[in-house]
Amino acid sequence: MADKLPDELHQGERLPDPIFLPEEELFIRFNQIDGSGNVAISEIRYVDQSGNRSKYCSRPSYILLPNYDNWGYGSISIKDILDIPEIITAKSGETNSCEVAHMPLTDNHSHSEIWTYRNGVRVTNNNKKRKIGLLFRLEICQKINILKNPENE
Amino acid sequence: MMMSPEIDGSKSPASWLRKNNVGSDKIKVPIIFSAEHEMRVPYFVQNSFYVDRFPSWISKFQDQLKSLRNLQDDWNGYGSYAPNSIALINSQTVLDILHKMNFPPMAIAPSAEDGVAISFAKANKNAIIECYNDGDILAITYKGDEEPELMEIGESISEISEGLDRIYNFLYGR
Repeated sequence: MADKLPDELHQGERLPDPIFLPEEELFIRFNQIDGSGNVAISEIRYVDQSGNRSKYCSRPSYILLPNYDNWGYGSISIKDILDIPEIITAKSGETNSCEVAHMPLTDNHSHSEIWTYRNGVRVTNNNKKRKIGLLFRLEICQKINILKNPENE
Repeated sequence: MMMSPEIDGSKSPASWLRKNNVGSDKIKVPIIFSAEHEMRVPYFVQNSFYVDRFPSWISKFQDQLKSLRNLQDDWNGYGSYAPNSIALINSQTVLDILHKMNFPPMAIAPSAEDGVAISFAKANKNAIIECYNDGDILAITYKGDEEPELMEIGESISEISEGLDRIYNFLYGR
């Protein structure tokens, strides 16, 4: 993996782009898979999980830059992410929602985060409910399409 | 010198750490060394259910757990904290009980939710128990599209044992 970041990842003068299309994808890296070949739950955060949005990241493997060469990566569609809260709401009885936010970094314009909400309030490390979080993380893992497995075996 | 959690009445090693205000610091977990096996064994279990029998898998996972002590914060580039002493000592308790049960996990890894994850798999059944930096312990069992089962597990040895029994029963249908 080249040390130099691709030009397309540099933010430059570009501003955040808040519009996500349902078919757009988020690329996520991980280092463990479960016994069924899905991403392990332990790899995914409930609060502000990061990823690279495909609109500004032409190669999924860029999610491994600059120093995660041996990790795996996969993709999940924005539609699949936005469908998860309905599933969680049905299971938990609490109103859950989420959005994907474009949060560019100077060295990664494609950087985005999954923001989750419970009863209209954004979930943070201080108010999260871990049981609901586990369900959310499991759904994310089961919807990620693995493009490369980690090399940790 | 640190007192044994059992001596001063704390419910568990992790609660003793919190009670003594050492929870978030990366202190050295109290350990003993077994000269015979050169393995780390928390001294709080040495008189309770320590089993003088070391299947090969236990060494592997002991080493994996030990390696997590050197992990740095933001190990995944997503801002996750490395496991702290509370998560590590609770995970050691889990591993000790698994040893007693002769129930090897599939993997021990850091959790993106700040702590340690111990995972299991049998055919298409999966389970994971996570020991978090704040002392919480949760587990989930899941199989395909079936409804997952969530477990909030206390940090006492009996509660962890009960949780692991449930995971074992889910995986092996005992």
